[in-house]
Amino acid sequence: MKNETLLYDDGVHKCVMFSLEDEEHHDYSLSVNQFLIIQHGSGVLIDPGSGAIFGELYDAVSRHIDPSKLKYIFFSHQDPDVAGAISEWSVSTTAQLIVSKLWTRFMGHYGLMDMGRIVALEDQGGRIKFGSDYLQFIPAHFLHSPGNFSLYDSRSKILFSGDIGAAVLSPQNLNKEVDNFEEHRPYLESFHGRYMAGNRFCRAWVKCVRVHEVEMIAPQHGSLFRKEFAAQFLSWFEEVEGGLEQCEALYGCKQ
Amino acid sequence: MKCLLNKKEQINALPKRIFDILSQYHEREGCMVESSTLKQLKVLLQSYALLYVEDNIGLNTQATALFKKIVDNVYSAHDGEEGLTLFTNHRPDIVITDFAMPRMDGLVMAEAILKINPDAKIIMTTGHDNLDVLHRALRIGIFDVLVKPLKIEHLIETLTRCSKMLKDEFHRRIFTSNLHTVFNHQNNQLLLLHAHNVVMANQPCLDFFGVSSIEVFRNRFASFGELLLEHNGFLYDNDETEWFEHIAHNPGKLFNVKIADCEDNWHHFILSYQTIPEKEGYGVLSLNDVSELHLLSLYDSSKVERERLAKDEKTVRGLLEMAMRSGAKIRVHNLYKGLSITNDGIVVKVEKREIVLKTSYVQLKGIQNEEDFYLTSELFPMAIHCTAIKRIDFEPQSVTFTHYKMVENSPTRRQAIRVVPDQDVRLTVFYEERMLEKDIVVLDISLKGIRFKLTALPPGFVLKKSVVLDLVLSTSLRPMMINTKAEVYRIDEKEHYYELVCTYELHGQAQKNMIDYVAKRQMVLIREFKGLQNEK
Repeated sequence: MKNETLLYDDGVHKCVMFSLEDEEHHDYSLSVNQFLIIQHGSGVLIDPGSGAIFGELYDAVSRHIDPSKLKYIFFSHQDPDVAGAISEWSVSTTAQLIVSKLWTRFMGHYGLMDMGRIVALEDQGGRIKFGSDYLQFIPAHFLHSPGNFSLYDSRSKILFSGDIGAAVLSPQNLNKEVDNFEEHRPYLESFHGRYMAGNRFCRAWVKCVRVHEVEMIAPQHGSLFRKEFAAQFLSWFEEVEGGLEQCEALYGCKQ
Repeated sequence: MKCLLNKKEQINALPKRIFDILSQYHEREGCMVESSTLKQLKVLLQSYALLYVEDNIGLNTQATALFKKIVDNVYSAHDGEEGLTLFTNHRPDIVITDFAMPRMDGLVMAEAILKINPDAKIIMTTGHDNLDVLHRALRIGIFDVLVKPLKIEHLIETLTRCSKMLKDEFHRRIFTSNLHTVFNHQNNQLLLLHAHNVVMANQPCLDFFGVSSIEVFRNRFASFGELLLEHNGFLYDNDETEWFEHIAHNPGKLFNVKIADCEDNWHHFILSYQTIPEKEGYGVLSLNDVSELHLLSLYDSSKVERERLAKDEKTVRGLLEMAMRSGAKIRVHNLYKGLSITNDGIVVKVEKREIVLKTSYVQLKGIQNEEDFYLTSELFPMAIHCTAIKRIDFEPQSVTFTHYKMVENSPTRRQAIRVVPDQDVRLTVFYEERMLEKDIVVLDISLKGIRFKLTALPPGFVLKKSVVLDLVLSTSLRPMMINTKAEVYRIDEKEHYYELVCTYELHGQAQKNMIDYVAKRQMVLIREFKGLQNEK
């Protein structure tokens, strides 16, 4: 499996995907992805993962940019496979750490007491200027985390969707790219049916995403959705039924 | 719910039925009208005025009597012309009119009424389902059209909806007129911008610039940027500053700006800008005048002058008062064995020498432990070091202090996280291949450098000299050895020892080991600090 994929490069702006898995997950092919955006010698790291992959990712990032030039590190949510290495990244860079305001009070548990390093995102998201372009933080709350965001890069038109779009064990994950949506669909269904809170949230997220022109969806687990597959994914995701719709089955008794 | 008056009944018979139903509040013709519904309708409509226009004399008389039961002021007319005259004289809120009438029909009258008051609520009754009449009614903005014979629940529903809309409009008018009042009676100058350009400005703003109206203001200043004067350390500090980009991308953030009034006197303002959601390109800019604190020279003076001012408590108090007045969130910094503890705070009281600051519980614990703290803000030219803690109140979460001064160098400006190491750290320093003394005490350590004590310095040992460091660090798992070249960056002579700082660039595994050590040490120090929180 490739562990580095160039997603976009126009000579000024570059997006790279790393696929570094900690050993625990390797056998299960959880297919974890981390992302880096670079423009004019300034970088944004997205969902850098747990402490177990910190060293490997630090080296991988260093091949593209001096880590001291990382301006922001974005954590889509608080899970350990996303934010487990906050302490290491806070020591090794001077980057601002962007996370939902819901999780700032937990930063001490991740090894950081300096709130001056944190950019706390309001629930409705926000936008930051990055070089000549912008990064848009799109609310993705309860999909699955209650304080969760996707990140849209206006230059590459890539949507870094966090856990949305994750697929575990799909054969499509081998080349990190979906080229047969129907083959991939069962693996999407098993993950999203159990992890997403409910259809209303899925629809709300799709509505927010459709405001932007999306060329590619890059999830934190699994494979990339390019062009028509991205559109297919959005249409499919709109109909996803999550925890709310399966409440009775999940709890095993009539509610 | 089926609740009809007899459909076959003629128009003439209708008002009597309604009247009976409304008056007697009981079942009639198979229709139950809840008395509570009618009471509610009376409560909703009582304070409004109603005009009823109907050419059928009998019908008009009875219906007017009916409406008087639920509305205080009822006017009645028998054709459109008379209706329009009554409307012009009394301006009722609600008009109920028939469509087909002599002299002037209901639609022509309605059109004329809506020209006088576009908010008037006109309900038209018509004897037949005429699409053309419906379309015309819609086009001119009639509130609703009811087809005769009227269904009682439709009339009640329409009048209820009508009253709710009138109330909403009334509230909106109060809100808008009061907003206007607030806008003009703010001490702050307020401006509505569309991109760079001023669209509206409140009265204090117009007075400040000595202009009579917003039109004059707009003619004189094409862009708000034209008002800004260059000032060192301020939002606009050179003519290439993209001031608008800066404020637009930092909504709610506070900036220092300098602006001249109509008599060319310079004023120091705190500027903040807030975009208006869903109105792209529009934003509200507020300016808070803090000129009387005399802080302008602090930002634009020579180094010597700045140092003098930095020591001047009055000047620093002025800065803190500026932060209080503008409601600025400022950063409060503490260190616990190098671990940076930073949270927001706000100045809530400035009285004589005493300052009261509100901040988080964790921060107060840091202050209690260190007995001092630092304040930083984009508004301040330097960090402010605060000591002489008089009181820490954990219940309203505030700290009172009486000594404060600005400092050029503070721990808030550290480029790398520095931590006090554990006792097992071992450092050996080699200078010109000779080992310096044993048992060196390491004060703190980071990815970029190390601070330690020496009791004596070898000859020729000065700044920028090269040394070799052998460092043994212990984590819970294993000892880690780091061997690196370093440069002497600082030597401070203390009473009984020297304090040195050496800087280095670590690579490869040494770099990883140091990151790992500092990160884990942070966790240990956090646990230690949290332990302190449980102590009284």
